[in-house]
Amino acid sequence: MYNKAESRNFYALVAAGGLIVGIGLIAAYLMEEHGHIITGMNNQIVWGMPHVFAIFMIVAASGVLNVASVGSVFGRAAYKARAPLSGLLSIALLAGGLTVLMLDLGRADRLIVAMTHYNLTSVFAWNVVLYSGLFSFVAIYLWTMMEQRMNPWSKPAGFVVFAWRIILTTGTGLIFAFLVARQAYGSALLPPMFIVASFAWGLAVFHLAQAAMYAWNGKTPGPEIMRRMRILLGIFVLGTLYFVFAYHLTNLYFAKQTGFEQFILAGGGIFPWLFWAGYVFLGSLLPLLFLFHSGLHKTSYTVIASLLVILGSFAFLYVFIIGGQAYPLFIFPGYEASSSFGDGQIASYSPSLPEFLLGFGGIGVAFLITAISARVLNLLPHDIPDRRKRDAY
Amino acid sequence: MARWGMVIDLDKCTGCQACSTACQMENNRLPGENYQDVLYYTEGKQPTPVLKWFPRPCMHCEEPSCMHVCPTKATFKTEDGVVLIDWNKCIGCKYCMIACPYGVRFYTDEKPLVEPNIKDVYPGEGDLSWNPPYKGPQQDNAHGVGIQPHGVVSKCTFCYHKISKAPKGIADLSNDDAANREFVPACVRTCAPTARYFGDLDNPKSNVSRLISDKRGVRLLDHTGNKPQVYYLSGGAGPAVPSGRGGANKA
Repeated sequence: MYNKAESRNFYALVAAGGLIVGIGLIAAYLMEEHGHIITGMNNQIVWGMPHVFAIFMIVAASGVLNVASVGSVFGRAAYKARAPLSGLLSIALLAGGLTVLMLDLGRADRLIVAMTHYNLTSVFAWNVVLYSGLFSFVAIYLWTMMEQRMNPWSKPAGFVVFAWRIILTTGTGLIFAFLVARQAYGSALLPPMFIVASFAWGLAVFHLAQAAMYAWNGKTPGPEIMRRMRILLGIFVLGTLYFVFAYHLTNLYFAKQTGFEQFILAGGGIFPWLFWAGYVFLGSLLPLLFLFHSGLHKTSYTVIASLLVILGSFAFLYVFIIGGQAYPLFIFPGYEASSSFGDGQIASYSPSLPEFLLGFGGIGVAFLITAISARVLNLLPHDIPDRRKRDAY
Repeated sequence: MARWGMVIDLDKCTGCQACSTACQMENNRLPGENYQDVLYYTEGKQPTPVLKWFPRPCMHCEEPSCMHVCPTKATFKTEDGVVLIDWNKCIGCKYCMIACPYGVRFYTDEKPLVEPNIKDVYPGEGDLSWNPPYKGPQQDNAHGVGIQPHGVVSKCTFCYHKISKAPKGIADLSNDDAANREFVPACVRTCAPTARYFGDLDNPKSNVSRLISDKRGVRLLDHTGNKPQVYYLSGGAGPAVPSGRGGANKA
């Protein structure tokens, strides 16, 4: 049982999370009341910082299930012990991401319209089904794992969740892949890139949550499972880097895309800095050093690497989403156009405080769901110390 | 049923922006946020650059990207080929704004492009974003006509409040036809050099069909596959739209 001091600390933590959520809701109200005028968004950059937060959380919600999948689908016992936490984090991140996404809508009050009027050619409409489905399937999966008489159904449920989350992340990638109008998007490479990125971002979130839970309970995870999870994160970070490299390389090969690539990779102000320093160096190369260097095997280095991967993912998404919109439409290829409406010009964007607060509010939602559920349901992974069973890793 | 379309003769267009102003007045647009805009670009290099212009309304595409991506079917196509927004269904996700290759969609409650912010001078009542003193009598949210409400996207409607009342079977809506002049879209109605034509693209006898056929009308960014219903004409040396011209003239 929990002692009095621990309980007090827990309630203080929940109160802090609640405060962040409350501030996020106030920010959402202000943005709803005043519109784009109090944000950095405009008619050229219509998706801003809230979308960076939302898409990170939605993509990570899919990727964090990787731990459960390795346990259920590939039968690794040590990962199975972590599957309930993996499922919980998925639900929490998805709830946080969707909260931000919905509150950023111009008419959040018309959510019922989005749920009752489906345009089957719209990937947004598909995603309504995919997101709702993930909630349901992961909840059922958790039930099969936590209710003893349902345990035989755990593996099939794990398979369904595994397939569903791959489809879901494909759907998230398709939001951009289907856009022929923008030079940054409209590539079949985007869905697989998002899937691999989801593995890395989700596992980084899992590492952080797991480390926090172990530290809170005064325990340490087994070195073997930590080694395996550290290597897995490194492989996913490398995989993401490979897809991002392939995406930019193919773009550079198309003459019509070189202007856009020059903007993102070299001359586009903040965007090249965020890409090279934020995503490539801080968010990929440095974590790889922490994850693979033989002298850096302490859990704290893995935590730092995970934090850097998450920071890098924000830098990547900022460049991808906002940089992709900042580059002007290709209306007159080969000509420089201008108008009273900003045509032909690089659009400017400075995220405002309410946008950040709404984003952090979404993270607060994910944190609250995780903290309360993990305590109530006692989801701390219990590693098996027995040598014979450890060999089953 | 007609399939309405527009033809713009670039040789006749003087870039005067009367079309933009007429559109702004007709549709209660905010300064700088015109449904119909004129783009400027430069042909040739120093010392002999030539400033050119290019009017750009919504293209009312046959295969509109904006309609395909709209999750709630708020953007829809009428039987007579006009792409409209049902403001009662728009949830303000702005996906259509990213999907449109022509950049002709507008979101409400933006920073003013011209000071002072006229929305503060004439604040809106209820759901409407502002309350212009010269507004027309029409407010049809289901067809995206009138003053833009809060939190939704708007665009050119081909002046749907006018053309939808035109007699059935009519081939062209032209200033020359006195009996039907009131149904002519504002930009066509006001164009002093008569560079704009509006009519039924499916009617081979319509003036717009003949112009497209006789003068080799072309569409902007045709390679996207959106199939715009706005055609451009040019009797000059090169194709009508800049992307089709030779590289020698590029800026």
